[in-house]
Amino acid sequence: MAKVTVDGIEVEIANGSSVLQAAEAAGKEIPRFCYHERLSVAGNCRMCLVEIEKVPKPVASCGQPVADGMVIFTDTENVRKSRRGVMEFLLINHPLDCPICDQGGECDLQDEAVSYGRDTSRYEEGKRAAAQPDWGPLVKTTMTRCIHCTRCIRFSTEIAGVPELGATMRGENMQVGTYVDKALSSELSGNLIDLCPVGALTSKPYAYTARSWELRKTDSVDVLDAVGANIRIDARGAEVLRILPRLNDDVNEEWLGDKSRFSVDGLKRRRLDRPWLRENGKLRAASWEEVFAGVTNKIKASKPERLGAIAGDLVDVESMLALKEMFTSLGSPNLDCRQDGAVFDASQRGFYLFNTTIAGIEEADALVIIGSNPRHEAPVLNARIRKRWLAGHFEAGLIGVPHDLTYPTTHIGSGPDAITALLDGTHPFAEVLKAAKKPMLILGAGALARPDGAAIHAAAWKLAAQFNMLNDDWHGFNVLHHAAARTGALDIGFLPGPGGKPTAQMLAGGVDILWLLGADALDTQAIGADTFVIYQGHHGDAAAARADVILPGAAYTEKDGTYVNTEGRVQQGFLAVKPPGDAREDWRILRAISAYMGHALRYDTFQELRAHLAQTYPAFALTGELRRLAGANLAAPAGDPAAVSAAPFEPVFDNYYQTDPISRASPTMAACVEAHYPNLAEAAQ
Amino acid sequence: MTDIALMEQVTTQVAGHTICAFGDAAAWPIQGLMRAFRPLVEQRATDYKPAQPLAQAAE
Repeated sequence: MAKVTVDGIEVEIANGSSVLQAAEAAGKEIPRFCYHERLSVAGNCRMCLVEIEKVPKPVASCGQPVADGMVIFTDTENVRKSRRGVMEFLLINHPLDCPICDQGGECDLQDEAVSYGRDTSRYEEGKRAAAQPDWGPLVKTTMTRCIHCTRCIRFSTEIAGVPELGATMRGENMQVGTYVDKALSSELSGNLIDLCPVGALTSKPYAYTARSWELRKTDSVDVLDAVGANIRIDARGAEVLRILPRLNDDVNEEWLGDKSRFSVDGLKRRRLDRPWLRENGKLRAASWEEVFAGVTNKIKASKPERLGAIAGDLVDVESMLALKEMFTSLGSPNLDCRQDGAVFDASQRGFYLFNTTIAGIEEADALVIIGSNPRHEAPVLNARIRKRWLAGHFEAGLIGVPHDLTYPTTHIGSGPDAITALLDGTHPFAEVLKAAKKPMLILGAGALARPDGAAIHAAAWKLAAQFNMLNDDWHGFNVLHHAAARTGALDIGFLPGPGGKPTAQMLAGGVDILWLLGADALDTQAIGADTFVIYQGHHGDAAAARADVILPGAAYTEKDGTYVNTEGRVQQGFLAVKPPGDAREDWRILRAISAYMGHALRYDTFQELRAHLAQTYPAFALTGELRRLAGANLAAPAGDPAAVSAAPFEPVFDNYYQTDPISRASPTMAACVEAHYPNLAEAAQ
Repeated sequence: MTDIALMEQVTTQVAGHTICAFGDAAAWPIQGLMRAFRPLVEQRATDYKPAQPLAQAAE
């Protein structure tokens, strides 16, 4: 620890910290453009100059390590004069286009110019001109505004792991770019917009839409993947305009995947905003009373064991609980949340959670990925693995389709036989795992959605047990889900009860009435022709087209709800805007319909439902935080590890951008598919 | 004359504030020139008359 004095305040700070960090510890704010906590230090904006005793020149505080007994001044006349000088130089080539700049109102340069800028410009020459490169459908570039802080370059090389950005030329002529015009191929490219301290990189879909001060900000949780990234929903009136990440070091740090960030325009397209009823083979608009009566009559006429319900990927836990309890009171055991058809042992929480936790990845020293592509299924989590790899002494192996995961991986094999090879020790990667102190494995949810899913589940557990992944203080067995609702649904046991039918059987004519709660990812062709389908959801996607009754529900931005991320972290999202038209929150629809059927659910308000949830399932009483499970002395999941088939693992998604009803309805995501998967886009047309 | 004052003031913003030693190296010669030869520079600037009218020079 080093003891330093900042403006007369003494602080103790770890050796190797920078002067800027010391100043922050002392509560002094230092203006900065190029410095960012999560990126390497560049020291080229010169805005963070401070004075240090016995040093003749002002010092860039971001790059200067502290020394014991250092005396730092952050607010002397000299410091202010230096910063004013730096600001004047930064503004020399910066255009005066704040009125038409999307960054206006949340611009670092604008803010600092208030403190350190001159009232007039002394610069009379022509300003620099710059080409406006095309970086794809997400990031809009206005390079005249660039102040060469290089944050974007450092982000793409260090965090995103796609070294596509660089600087060409020098000095005033320096240009940040991709060398040849091309779309950024990172799933995290939206973060460049947040990182850019000026308006050089702004959001293309959001361009010229709103000013930051007009927006109503609501904290929430992302549901487009299972990481549960913390987000802020910015809305104006009844419209969600953009989604930004919120800081949470345990989950997403401050990053957000492009799908989660840019799918917002899908929230106002193809929406179900009124109930629909199928009559003579055609859907017609109906009133709530009509559909309630229709559904009630249909269900009352059917036998309980011929009723079935499947929960989808984006649903909140409260709605699933209401649906589960309604079906239980009707006497039906046919419930399933695994619409991908996966069947595996979910009797213990540890069997289906990401037990190591996302922050825990940083402690691991070896990793095996089985049947998953974390870069597509959870880009923020993949960035965490890359961060671990950058820190050194880390080996990753991959079983499944080989991908560029932004860090090197040893390809062990394509199918489950590679797990057997590791268990036998016949593959050299087994030595790596043996030598590792904290090895972990990631089992993709896609690997479980196969006929031999239970066997793969058991084989992966056996691998974990054999290679020292299950200890008192380390649980290295991880399942990576890609559906935000899945973990929560498994937690409340939205699974076939005694004698209940799983998804595949329900689809294959096992039930007469099938209730789909936002379940869109299943094969609607497989649903029996005689099955009466009730679809409750927010988007007119595949399942709604097959439905006989449509109950319009609310999307995740339009309701309060609890979500459990793949680690088992319980998080709450909040309502940002009201659902469109006649659509209602899902639990409300279920509560109303249960009353029609004479089995009224016991809760009348959302608070009561939530209290009931926490009471019934104690795991939900703890929100936001997470207790890590210990891995020692656990029973293995049911399933025969030897019964795995030889079929290679298939990718879960054919593309990253369109995986759920919201992103499929989004024109921005369609543009991304066109830019990054031209073959897919062509096939769709 | 205002240009000279401006230039001299700007050198003080550059010298001592850059990572690169070229910052100082670019600023010091101007500071030296002004310190030693300012009257001469001012003299030359006032005496300077374009040899030809500008319009002609442009042709």
